Amino acid sequence: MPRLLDRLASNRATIALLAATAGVSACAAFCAPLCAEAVVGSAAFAALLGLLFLNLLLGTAASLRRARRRPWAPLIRIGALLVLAGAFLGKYAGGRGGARLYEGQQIGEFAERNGGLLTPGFSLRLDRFSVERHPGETLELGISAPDGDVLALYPVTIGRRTGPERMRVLPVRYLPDFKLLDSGEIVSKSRDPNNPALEIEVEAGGERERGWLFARFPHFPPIGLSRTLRGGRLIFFDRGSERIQSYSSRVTVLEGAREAASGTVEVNRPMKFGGYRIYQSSYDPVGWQWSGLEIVRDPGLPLVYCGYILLALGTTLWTGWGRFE
Amino acid sequence: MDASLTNVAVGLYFTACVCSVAWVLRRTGERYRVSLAFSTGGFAALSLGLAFRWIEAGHAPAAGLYETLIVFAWASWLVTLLLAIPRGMRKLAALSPFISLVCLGYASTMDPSIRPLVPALRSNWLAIHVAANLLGYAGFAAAFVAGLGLAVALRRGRPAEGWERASVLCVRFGFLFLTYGILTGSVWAQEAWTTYWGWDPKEIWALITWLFYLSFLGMRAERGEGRPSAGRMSRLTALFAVGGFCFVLFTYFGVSLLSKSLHSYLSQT
Repeated sequence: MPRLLDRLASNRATIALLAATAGVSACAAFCAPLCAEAVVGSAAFAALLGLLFLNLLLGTAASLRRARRRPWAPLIRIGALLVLAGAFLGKYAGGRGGARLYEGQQIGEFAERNGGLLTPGFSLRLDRFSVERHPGETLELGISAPDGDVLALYPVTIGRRTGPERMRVLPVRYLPDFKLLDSGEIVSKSRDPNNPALEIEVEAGGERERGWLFARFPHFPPIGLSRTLRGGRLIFFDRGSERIQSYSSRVTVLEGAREAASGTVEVNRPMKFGGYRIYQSSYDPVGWQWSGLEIVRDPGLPLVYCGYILLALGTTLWTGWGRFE
Repeated sequence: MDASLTNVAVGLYFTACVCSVAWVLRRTGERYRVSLAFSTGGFAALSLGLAFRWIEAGHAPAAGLYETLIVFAWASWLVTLLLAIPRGMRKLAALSPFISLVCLGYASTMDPSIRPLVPALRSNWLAIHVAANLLGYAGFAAAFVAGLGLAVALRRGRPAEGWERASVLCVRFGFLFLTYGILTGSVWAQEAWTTYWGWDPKEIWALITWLFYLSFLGMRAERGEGRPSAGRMSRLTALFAVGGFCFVLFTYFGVSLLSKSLHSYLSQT
């Protein structure tokens, strides 16, 4: 038994276990995402990491004895140990679940990936879901064939001529939310890209006329361009209005009927409550009606971060002052 | 403005490469110094271009393949300035502009327009994580060049200590910054993607690359019986320095092309 432990604590065992971890990870990376999750989430892979944990634990005692000469070795080993310990703790004592919420909806159970339900002991109400886009930032003009295929695309800058050689197209004005008032005046109802429209001046065959193209209605005949286009099709794309700049959810946490907390959750800014982190994880790509929220409890996270600090410190000392000659 | 400065940098690095070739053919101190001057000029132009782009875009120029290639080119010469020139590693310093030129050449085939960031990239971690990784990659690129030089020197039976020393030094530098890159990326992923490690293909290949170089440095640090002989160690150093860069290239370019990764939007933005 002591001999087996010696072998398990050796540097060769560390290299072999790391190589095996790298090999399995590489296989997982080549698999489809679902299969990859099955590989790295399997009991066999957990056992492999468990062996690595044991190896690091046993080897740390030896590295501590040489700590005066090589202070980085125990730092790196303990750092890696803490990361693995935190990962195990998070995997077996933590929980995560997600939900799609519409404005005003309240939910107390969150769907886990394994099909179960996570009940965190509080419920979440979505008060408001906001989406910001980039209307008018990236405009394009397309020439389309009768069957609808886009044959060519031209970038659009207001006031600069664009389009094919035979047809001179001058983009005059962009409105994110086109509205024709009763008075005949054309305005933008809001800054939101609800009905992006582009006013263009077309010169072709000795004729010149002005008209409007609508990004949301590409099959709608352009207004006021019948003579110059002569059946040809111009399509206007407002790429920026299709691209999300940011999205956020104003949520209230309820314990029973009591409002325990409220805040705004957005990507890169999770909200913390009762040992859980509430994340903005997704959104309704069609119509932006629902907000995808995920709640995560990971008691191993502090250990993982402590491990990262030790790993960074140990690696800095090792690569800076270690002997490799 | 930044595109014009990038073009100026391409010209300066190209001239530096020509001077380097002239220096390799006939080694005069003057040719070497002229090559360094042109490379440093290219580096200054790139620095200015990146600064202008940062101001114009309102975020660090670290999103998308075009921007990361420009930063890679910039970091490559920074590594040379920090490691090779102060230590008198002249051959490595003379060959380094080729790395920058290749990066800039590849970047020139891409659309340089500034695109808005996707929500997940709107974070201060973007600059830190990408800069750390690209400094790491630049270190490994320099190690690759030194490794090739080492392999050639060993094959021709010429003195190879300088190349070997340069290879190890650059791998140490690259490994340190790749470690920072992986750790900062992990902390960022916890904030943006709900988990610090999601077994994303890019993460996995970064880990594999890290483990590969870790095993190399572990082997170099080994003392006593387990340490290979000097000749074998030199050959292994060349092998690891050149082979490791294949992992770097795959992590940088291959993963996004071959598999569906959370990092794929980097090549789209």
